[in-house]
Amino acid sequence: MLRYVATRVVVAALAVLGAVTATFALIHAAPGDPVAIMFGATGGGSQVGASAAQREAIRQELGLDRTWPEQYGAWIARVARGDLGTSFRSRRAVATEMGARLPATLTLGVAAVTVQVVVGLGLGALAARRPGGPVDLATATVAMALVSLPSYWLGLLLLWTFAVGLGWVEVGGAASLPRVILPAVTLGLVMAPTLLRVFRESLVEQRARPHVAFARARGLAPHTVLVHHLARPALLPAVALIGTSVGEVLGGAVVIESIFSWPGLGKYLLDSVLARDYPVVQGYMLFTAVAVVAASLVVDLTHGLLDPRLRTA
Amino acid sequence: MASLILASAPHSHGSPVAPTGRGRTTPLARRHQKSRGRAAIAAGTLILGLVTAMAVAVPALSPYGVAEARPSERLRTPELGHPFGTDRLGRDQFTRAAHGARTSVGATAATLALSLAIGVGLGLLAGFRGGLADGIVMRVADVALSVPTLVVAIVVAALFGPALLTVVVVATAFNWANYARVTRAIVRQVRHEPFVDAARAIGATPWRIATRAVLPHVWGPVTAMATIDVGALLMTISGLSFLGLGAQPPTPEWGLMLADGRSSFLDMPHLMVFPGAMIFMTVLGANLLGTGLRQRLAGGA
Repeated sequence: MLRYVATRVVVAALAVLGAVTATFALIHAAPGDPVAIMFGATGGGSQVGASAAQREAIRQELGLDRTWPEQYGAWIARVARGDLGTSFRSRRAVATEMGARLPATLTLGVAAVTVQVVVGLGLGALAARRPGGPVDLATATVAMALVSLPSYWLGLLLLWTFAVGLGWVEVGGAASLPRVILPAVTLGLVMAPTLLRVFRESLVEQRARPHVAFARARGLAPHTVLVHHLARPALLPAVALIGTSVGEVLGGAVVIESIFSWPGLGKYLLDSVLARDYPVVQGYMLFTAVAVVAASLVVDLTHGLLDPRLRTA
Repeated sequence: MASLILASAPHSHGSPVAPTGRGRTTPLARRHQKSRGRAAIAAGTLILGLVTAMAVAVPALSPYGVAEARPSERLRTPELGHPFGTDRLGRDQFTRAAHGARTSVGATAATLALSLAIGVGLGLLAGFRGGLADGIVMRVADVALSVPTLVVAIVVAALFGPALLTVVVVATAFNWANYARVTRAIVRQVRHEPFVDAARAIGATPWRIATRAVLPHVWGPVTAMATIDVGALLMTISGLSFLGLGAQPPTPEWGLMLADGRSSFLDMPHLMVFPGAMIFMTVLGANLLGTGLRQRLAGGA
């Protein structure tokens, strides 16, 4: 087990290093002079005429005058200290700004994954009871519709229905727990069908295996068979999928948060992108990479717990 | 494996080739599956046919130009002359939606064609060569598949400026990997079949073996996969335009139209209902067709 954990951790660390490098490369491959863009982004007219000397000072401050292996080394050292730079717009540390918005996105993410898991696993288990039966066909149809729904359209439709049609929620306003429901349902519903299908498929497949037939033959109660003999192995692929939800949430959050004006990281990224606030964009990309790698690490370790055979691998 | 419309899910490209002998595959179940597959193919073809007809016919027949603004006909709700209504500038939304099909579906098709060429090509290379080439291609594919595409697409759009072309390039960069994996798996499977050995024995060049003996086995699964990918791609491409990071105004593009309609959707819901419905229907059609094709592969062997 120790060796299994150690291998996964090393692979995860390498993946993060790769992401840090890719971010560096991407930012440096971008056309345009960061200093000029910085003045374009912050200067509301007054700073437009920054002198060549001023520009040079900023260039030095940002380390842009050094060779790029040096810049890469400095970049790694900074990231390792958790320093993601300063926002062009607010002149405050990107890490601080992101930290302030993290709870909102976390709330949205947890709520969305909850919806995904309840709908996905619930309907998946229902569908698997009689493959080919009417319930199975109905869930398959629902899944087909959901997987074809663009999240941004579903979000607008829900917002229109509940805000205008029923008058239950107000558009905009401060972040509060009831306000997370609509965005979470939107995101969760869009993510649910894949989980539904994987879990259903996996249950159907597991049920055909001898150990389940044996458990039934022993006269165990149907729910004991379901929980102890079927669900545990069938959950393996489902857990792997929930792990990838982290990336989906962080991508989906950009769309969903901007539709529902939910003050999280996604909305912050989009606002920063449109204002060309590079350090923030860079910070979000790194954050996503670390979150995705961490999630896949957790998935690997969970697999080790669920399936003892993997631990020796 | 008594299977259903969606037994083989879009986006889960797990088993590229027809599952063989898993579970209880009775002839009856297989026939059942085949008939469901046929229904899905018919429905998908019908929907996509309608969208295509709209994209081809409406721009030619419509009395309104794509960018033609008629101030006297602003913000109309759907009516006979304007089935989808008009927007704030008085542009006919039906005509724009039809032009939008050309843009949105065209960008999706371009992405697919590029990623198929790259994916199948690299998959053949990895499958035949093995060794170092295989290792490199597959590791790069692993990375491409594990990166959240939307986040990277947003970042790239921010750095290189928003444009439809940027979106197509980024989407391609992450989409080819699935095709490479499947192609490689099939190559490894058929590589030592007698007909490949036979081709080699009569002195066929590697190129000829790859294109004549192996590629025909690749097309089926890869086409089914690509059809299913149309949906996810179209949603990503239109989604980025919706966010203002893809197509730019006044290009008629569904995601962009949806974003336009969003600002006034509380009292003018039709401005966001129709462009969204166009995306939904097209994606649904492609998903139905793709799953049907897949089922035919699984059941037909």
